[in-house]
Amino acid sequence: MNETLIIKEAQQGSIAAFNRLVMAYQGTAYNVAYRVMGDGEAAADACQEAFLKAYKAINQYRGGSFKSWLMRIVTNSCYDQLRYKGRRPATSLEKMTENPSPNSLKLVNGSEKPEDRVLRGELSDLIQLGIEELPEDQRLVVVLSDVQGFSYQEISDITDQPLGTVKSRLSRGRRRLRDFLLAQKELLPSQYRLKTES
Amino acid sequence: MTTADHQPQESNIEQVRELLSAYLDGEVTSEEIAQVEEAVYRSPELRRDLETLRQTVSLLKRLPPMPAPRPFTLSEARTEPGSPLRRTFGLPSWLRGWAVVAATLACVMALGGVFVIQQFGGGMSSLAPAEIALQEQAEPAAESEMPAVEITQEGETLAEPDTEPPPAEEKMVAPELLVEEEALPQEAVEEAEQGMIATDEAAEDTASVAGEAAEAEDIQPQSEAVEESVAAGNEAESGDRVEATPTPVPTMAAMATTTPTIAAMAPAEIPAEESALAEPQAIEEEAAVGDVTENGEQASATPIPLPTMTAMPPAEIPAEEPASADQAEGAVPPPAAAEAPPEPSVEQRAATPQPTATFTPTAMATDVAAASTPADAPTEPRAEPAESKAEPVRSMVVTVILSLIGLALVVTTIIIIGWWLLKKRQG
Repeated sequence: MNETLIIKEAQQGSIAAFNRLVMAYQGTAYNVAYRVMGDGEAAADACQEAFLKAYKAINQYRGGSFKSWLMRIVTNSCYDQLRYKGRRPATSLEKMTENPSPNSLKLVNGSEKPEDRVLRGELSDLIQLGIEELPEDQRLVVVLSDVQGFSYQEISDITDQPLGTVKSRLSRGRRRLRDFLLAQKELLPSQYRLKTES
Repeated sequence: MTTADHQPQESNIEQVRELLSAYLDGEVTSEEIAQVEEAVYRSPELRRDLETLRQTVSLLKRLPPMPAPRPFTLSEARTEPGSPLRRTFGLPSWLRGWAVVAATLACVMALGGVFVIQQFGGGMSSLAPAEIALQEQAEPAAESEMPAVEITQEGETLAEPDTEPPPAEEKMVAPELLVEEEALPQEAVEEAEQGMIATDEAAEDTASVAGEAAEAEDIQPQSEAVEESVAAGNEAESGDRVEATPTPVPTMAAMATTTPTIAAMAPAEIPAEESALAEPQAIEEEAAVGDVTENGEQASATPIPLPTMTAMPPAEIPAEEPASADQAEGAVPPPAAAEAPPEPSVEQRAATPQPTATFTPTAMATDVAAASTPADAPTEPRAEPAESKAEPVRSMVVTVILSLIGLALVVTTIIIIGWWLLKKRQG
């Protein structure tokens, strides 16, 4: 069904129509929240609060990318959660090595080899740790661009920042994450280690 | 390559380094592409940076997606009325904010109006007496027909304009004083010398009294003017002296025959210079007493500071009561009767000067006080204008406040109606 019609129904008060939108975007919303907050439970709370706010404010949607409009509510909800709880992303290097994230060990597809799964899990945890070391503004831009695949213009709409600012923050975030991974090179699987030799 | 050549290259490398991330995403212009590719070709460091950035981005893209732990769909219960998740009052957030602002403004205006009305209601009643007192002080000073009353600092400025009133008062006082003045010729020659001595003694008394009076600031300027007039009056005619002296001549005429007693009577307010002025004038005027009846001015030329002082209180002291009431009472009892109208006090003074030897400031205070009672009556009517002036102001303030309250309520109503229409149209 056309997304525009579903949105109109939701604006008319149809909860069922709105839930269809929730089902379509909750995966993206949860991933963004998880990568920004670094914790699964906190990310779930932020997503639930964000969808409630979106339902209340559905009449304020005036067209354009509904995905960008929804992600803006999700990111704001994540920032509110972080400020309210006074927390930084809780993942630490020791915690990662001792208790790897259960989500990272889940098979993405049935054909994946176990060793690849482990490697992927270790890589995911380390990258997540590097992401959490970034400042909030750089972290959000790196997650939206490189993890979720949003374009520069969509990131500009979500963050309400000009394109130049988005480019600058993404450049600094990537370089900082690169430096982190180079410093932790021994923790990376060999095939994933950054090759500095030209 | 020299150092100077390296600097531009380093800045160029740093500039290119900033473009590597956008270059990987294709978010650069054609010129920037050429710049980056040329710099990367020439600089191994830039090549290394570009490669590591590309690998980092690749790792990020390979991160596995995190599945949602549960569905985040909404239920009817979460959106039911009364639920805290329900849209608050059904108003959009932007409209909700304005409605809250308008409601708050209406409440603040209402409370402020009540508060102001209470303040004004109590304030105006408390202000009335003060306004009345000020008016009482101002009116007697303005309406005073006794130049002698205006010997004080304020009266000093009125010295010149007082030339007209004095003559009128002379006419008013002269008939009553004729009896006393007629008695003067008989004794004038005999007592001329005695009068000189008496005046000297009286001058000393008045000087001592004047010393006390000098404490009153309002007397000092007058005393200075009297000194000047004394110095000028010695050589001038009596009439001129009268004009020069700030003291109203007519009031002095009542005491022309009793110069010594007048000097003795001179209250503390009477500057010593005034009594000194009275001395030469008294001598000359006593000699010319026989012409008093013919020349009212001469009669009135006699310096009679005492009547002046007694007349002064009604006009001047009221204006100074707040500041110098205590001083006035301590220095000169007569001035304490600040509210006595000029005319009544002059008449009474003219009627009671006979026992001049025994006339004491206290007695004068009694007379002035007696004369002050009529002055109380005018205060009542003066209160009414003050109140009448305050009422329009108060009503205007109340009107303004009520208008603001009404405006806030109207704005709130408009906002609510607008929202209702908007929702109805969308529904």
